[in-house]
Amino acid sequence: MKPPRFEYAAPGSVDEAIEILRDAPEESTLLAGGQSLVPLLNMRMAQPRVVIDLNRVSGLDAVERTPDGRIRLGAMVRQRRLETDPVVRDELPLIAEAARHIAHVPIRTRGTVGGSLAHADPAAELPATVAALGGRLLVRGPNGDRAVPATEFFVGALTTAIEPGELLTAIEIEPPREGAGWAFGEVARTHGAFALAGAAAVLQVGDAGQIASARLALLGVGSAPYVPEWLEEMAVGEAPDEPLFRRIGARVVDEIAPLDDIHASADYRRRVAAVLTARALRDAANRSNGRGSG
Amino acid sequence: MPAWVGRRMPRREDAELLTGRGRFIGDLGRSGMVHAVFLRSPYPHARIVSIDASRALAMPGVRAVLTGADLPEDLGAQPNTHLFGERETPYFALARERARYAGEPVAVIVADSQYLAEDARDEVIVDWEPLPSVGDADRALADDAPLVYGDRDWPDNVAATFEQEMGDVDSAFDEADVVVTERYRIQRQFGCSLETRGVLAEWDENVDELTLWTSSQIVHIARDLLAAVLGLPEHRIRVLVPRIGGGFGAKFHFYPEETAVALAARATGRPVRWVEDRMESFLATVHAREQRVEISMAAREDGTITAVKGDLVGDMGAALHTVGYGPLWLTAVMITNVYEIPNARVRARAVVTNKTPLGSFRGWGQPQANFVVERTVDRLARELGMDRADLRRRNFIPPERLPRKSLHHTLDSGDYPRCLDRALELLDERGWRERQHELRDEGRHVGIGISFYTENSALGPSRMLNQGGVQQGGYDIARVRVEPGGEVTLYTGLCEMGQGVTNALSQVCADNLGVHPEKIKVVTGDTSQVPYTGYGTGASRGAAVGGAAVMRASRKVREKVMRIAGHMLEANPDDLEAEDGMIFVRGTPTAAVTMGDVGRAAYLRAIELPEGEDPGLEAIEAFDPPQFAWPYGANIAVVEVDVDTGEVSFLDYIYVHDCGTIVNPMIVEGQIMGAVAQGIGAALFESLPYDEEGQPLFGTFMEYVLPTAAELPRLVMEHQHTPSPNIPGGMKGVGEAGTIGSPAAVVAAIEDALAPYGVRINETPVTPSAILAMVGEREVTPA
Amino acid sequence: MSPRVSMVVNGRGVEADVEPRRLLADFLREDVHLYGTHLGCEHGVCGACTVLVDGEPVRSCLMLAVQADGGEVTTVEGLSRDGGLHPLQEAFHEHHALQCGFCTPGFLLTSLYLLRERPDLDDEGEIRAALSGNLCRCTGYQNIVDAVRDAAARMRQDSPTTKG
Ligand SMILES: Cc1cc2nc3c(=O)[nH]c(=O)nc-3n(C[C@@H](O)[C@H](O)[C@H](O)COP(=O)(O)OP(=O)(O)OC[C@H]3O[C@@H](n4cnc5c(N)ncnc54)[C@H](O)[C@@H]3O)c2cc1C
Ligand code: FES
Ligand code: FES
Repeated sequence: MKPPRFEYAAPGSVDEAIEILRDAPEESTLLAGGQSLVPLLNMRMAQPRVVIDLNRVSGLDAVERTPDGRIRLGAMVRQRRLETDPVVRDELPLIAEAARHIAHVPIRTRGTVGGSLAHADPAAELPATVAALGGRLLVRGPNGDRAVPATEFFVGALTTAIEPGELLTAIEIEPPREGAGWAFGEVARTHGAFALAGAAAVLQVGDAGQIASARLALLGVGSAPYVPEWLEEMAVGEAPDEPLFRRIGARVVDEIAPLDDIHASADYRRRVAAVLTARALRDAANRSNGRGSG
Repeated sequence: MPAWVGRRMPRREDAELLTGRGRFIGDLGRSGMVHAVFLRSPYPHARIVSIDASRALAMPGVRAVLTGADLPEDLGAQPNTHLFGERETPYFALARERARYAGEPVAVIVADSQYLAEDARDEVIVDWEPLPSVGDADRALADDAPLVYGDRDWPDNVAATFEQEMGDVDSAFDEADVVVTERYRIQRQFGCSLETRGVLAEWDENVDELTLWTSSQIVHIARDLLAAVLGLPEHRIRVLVPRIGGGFGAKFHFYPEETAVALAARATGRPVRWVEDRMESFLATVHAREQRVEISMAAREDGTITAVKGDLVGDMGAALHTVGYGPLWLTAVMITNVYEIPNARVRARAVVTNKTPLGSFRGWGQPQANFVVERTVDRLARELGMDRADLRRRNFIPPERLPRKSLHHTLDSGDYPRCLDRALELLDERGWRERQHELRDEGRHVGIGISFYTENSALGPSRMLNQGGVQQGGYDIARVRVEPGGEVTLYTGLCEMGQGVTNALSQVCADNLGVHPEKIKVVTGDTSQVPYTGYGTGASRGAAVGGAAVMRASRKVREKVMRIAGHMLEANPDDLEAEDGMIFVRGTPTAAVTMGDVGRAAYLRAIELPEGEDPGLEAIEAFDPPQFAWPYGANIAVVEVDVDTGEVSFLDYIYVHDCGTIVNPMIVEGQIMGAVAQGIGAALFESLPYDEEGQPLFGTFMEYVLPTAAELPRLVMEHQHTPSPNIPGGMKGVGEAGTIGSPAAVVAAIEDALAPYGVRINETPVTPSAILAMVGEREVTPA
Repeated sequence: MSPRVSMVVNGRGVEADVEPRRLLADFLREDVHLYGTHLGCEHGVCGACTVLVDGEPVRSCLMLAVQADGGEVTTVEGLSRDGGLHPLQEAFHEHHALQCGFCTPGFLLTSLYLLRERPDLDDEGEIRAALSGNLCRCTGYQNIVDAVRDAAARMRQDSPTTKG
């Protein structure tokens, strides 16, 4: 289990990286945290001619507020930092919570935000979480920058809207409104293992006690994060109670098409999706406006 | 009076291992060493039409590519030493014409680095002709099944059928008040030591001698089998075993890679090292456990079990490996567990399939036997409306009737009811039976599972092994030498693989010789130095059989020490005592000589020896146990099941057992904790599934799930002590015990937790997915 | 093309020409001859290869040696000070937290970082979760958990005010 031979480049800037990519976009692979790519190299399931290491690229590891009030996370921000960074913890606690479910600390110290999103494993936490938060992904290529909403970014298993020759530079997320609650939950066979299924929710209960807004995304239940677009319509104005959450769960089950694998059946994933949906919405509602366990 | 035996002593090798100085096989180097990798069959069954290695051989740094066609004509097949009457399933260091399982070694590629060897492997082209294959024992038994050994004219896929009976089973069933019948499926699992296997071979061409370092539990047997396969005299091979990163039975086998790497070293004239990578380990290291068992129990209304019969099918994979179908045989003969069941009948069929060969894993066939018996006893209790513990108590062989013959073996000694009762007492002291009711009332699903095991340890009487067909002894030989300076060197053929046997042996030696354990150096793992050991390091024999041999050798040396010291002190040897390296007249510690004084006399100053005393101060003694030893114990698991997600978590785990005299409680507890973790792995996590054709559906740790610290319980443990009547020192052995009863207890606890749903769990591992499938459709209520 | 890399390993500068594909683990083991860093899986799951790079735990089987160029690496060989065992090592010894010892270096380095970050750590559940990225096949973890908890207490006693 040793990597095949490759050429190695360690550019100092994004533009330099794009320049190198331009030479052989199909035969080059970007190396971020390496926590997905290097196993594939060791197994020789990936055999790129050129490996472009992003770890020495400057300017990709910032956590910052944009002038229009979003939080921007550079592609090379380590997953570990999502748990510890005060800005992320204050503004995007859902991201901080989801990050704690990614593998283990010695993997999160290397694994990056961009790597997880670009790799787009159907069972990964960050893609679904970013989708639940309605984030957008900033991609740069030879023709400049473009922004892709999360819902369009994840095309399928291990497939995204990134074109050959492009790279993901950052994501931007608008923090949920003051008083919105959030929750993340998943089941996995062992602590830190890839999830069998999971759910991320953001939900706000209005002053009158009815749901003012709600977003939800599930992971592990299809080839890409599943975001029920009908949720707002079904939930807004309703009382945040169990029957509603169960109805939403039931509808989720009708719409997802999970797969069987050696760890769990499709049927299992369907049923757990309903449970995790209901739990995440309930917990988010409890957290909304400082209610419940906050 | 034992001073060291029984003490909780931290281990001597820790310092080395804690500072990164321990040397495992992958850490060894020789000057000029090159690296081997194996090309393996991607097919479960295929004919090798041709292999083209020309491109690989032309690559820089590539030294050799050997295939089945390059093997010496007269090379022997890899031996099976456990011959119980079965068809032959020959396989070689490298597949010769066909591969019978995915992962079978087909070529060995040798290059200057592992990186280069893997590069070259990618360039070896094999022309395969895939053949029909079978990946499941039930399918393999079907009339139209593809034949794994059709080329050897087998009419079916049954390598052997074993049958044994005692009493009158049919009448007992006819007369029974209650009969229960259950079918169980036990999955494939394997030892999965954290260190994979590895081999380093070096030929000395001048004298035609081979030195082989290997991560093996069977240092002498590996040497002998290698000698047989290569056609060399045994003394031309020296086998060495460095530090081993866990063995668990998987390293109890003699593997094709050991032969192939030796041949590669001869072919290249260089020392060659191979270290198994994790992905190949899942296919190349023996698997274990997989069985389907149908079992029926007959009982009277009062709960007396009158008969048991079992029909076992073992999925042996593509060949009978070093231990043949030994584990399946052991499952069959342990079908009565610790119960006084007068009538029993078993049939076991060893079935070949196109899968990795089955072999040893801690517990051998015992976890399977325990699972099917203990789960069926629970079933019977339910059927009879009896308490599970009461039913067990009623059927235990009572202490006064031990020793007692069961289907095949003679259980030796102990007090089963006392052991179970203590475990139940602990359960109550910890309040679980009450808590369970309370928690159930709160809507939580909490279950308690009980099992009782015995373990076949201290293997074993050599004659009995031979009579059964095992081509190995069961004895152990120890050599103890007092050096001129008074320090002690203890030579043992047992291998240290983390189980602490060298510490245990030095504690035994210390007591019997009268020295401090720190003065004892233990030499292991080198056929040129250590005495022969009959069976190798397995079957929980280290402390018991090895310990008894060390005890004898130490005492023999001590006698001589006393004679010499008596002469020096002008005292009667019978009046002397030895302690901590001092030999003195009982009651007069001031009149003393040291072990060093005696050592010098023995080697350097014959002038101080008594008349007629030979020089030298060492003894070599063998011990062959007259009988097996039978430790036993109770497992009680307390679990909670989340019925919405199928997740299982442990609330408590109680383990009360008796393994006779305990040499070092710290080591014994460590052995049990580790083995229970493997049993829980069997119950909940670990599995090696194949598709119908024998394609593996696993390949990495992403598929083969090992439990982590976050899943496993804290064990509450108590020891009881019934010394073995057959082993000097009274030790019974404990190495495998924890794996045996734990799967049954855990699964019983889950079943109990799910009592409201009336589920029966007859298959492992019990995954969350399996649990939800059993619980069935139900309203979703977020907990 | 083998770039030259230099880094500080356990306080000592090392330099070598390495192929870009060379894993940090192989570099440490074969080029620096520090064999205490073990390879149990080479795909990131077992944790046996865990080392600290610039103070943070990483899988050395999932990092290229060239990526550590200019960095500071701590392996198990760098743990003991002045010939004496580190409190973690002592606690592992006394609690019988190792059997074969193959997993031990990874556990020690994971724990070293853990206790630096969380010197107050005492809760068994938290310790178990924090160690769940390291596999041990021998011990069932119980003694490892106890050793880490005990080491935390010892380290708090050794330096009641400063971190780790
Ligand atoms: C044992 C283990 C357990 C894990 N468990 C989980 C888990 O539970 N949940 C989870 O989500 N993940 C898990 N992971 C994977 C996670 O840790 C990875 O970090 C993540 O999937 C990839 O991030 P990375 O930065 O390591 O990317 P890399 O491995 O470096 O790259 C992954 C892919 O993304 C591409 N890429 C990287 N960065 C960019 C970019 N900026 N633009 C375009 N393409 C890019 C690369 O070319 C590559 O194809 C686990 C990994 C391991 C080893
Ligand atoms: S060897 Fe690196 S995590 Fe297993
Ligand atoms: S001590 Fe052997 S793997 Fe942990």
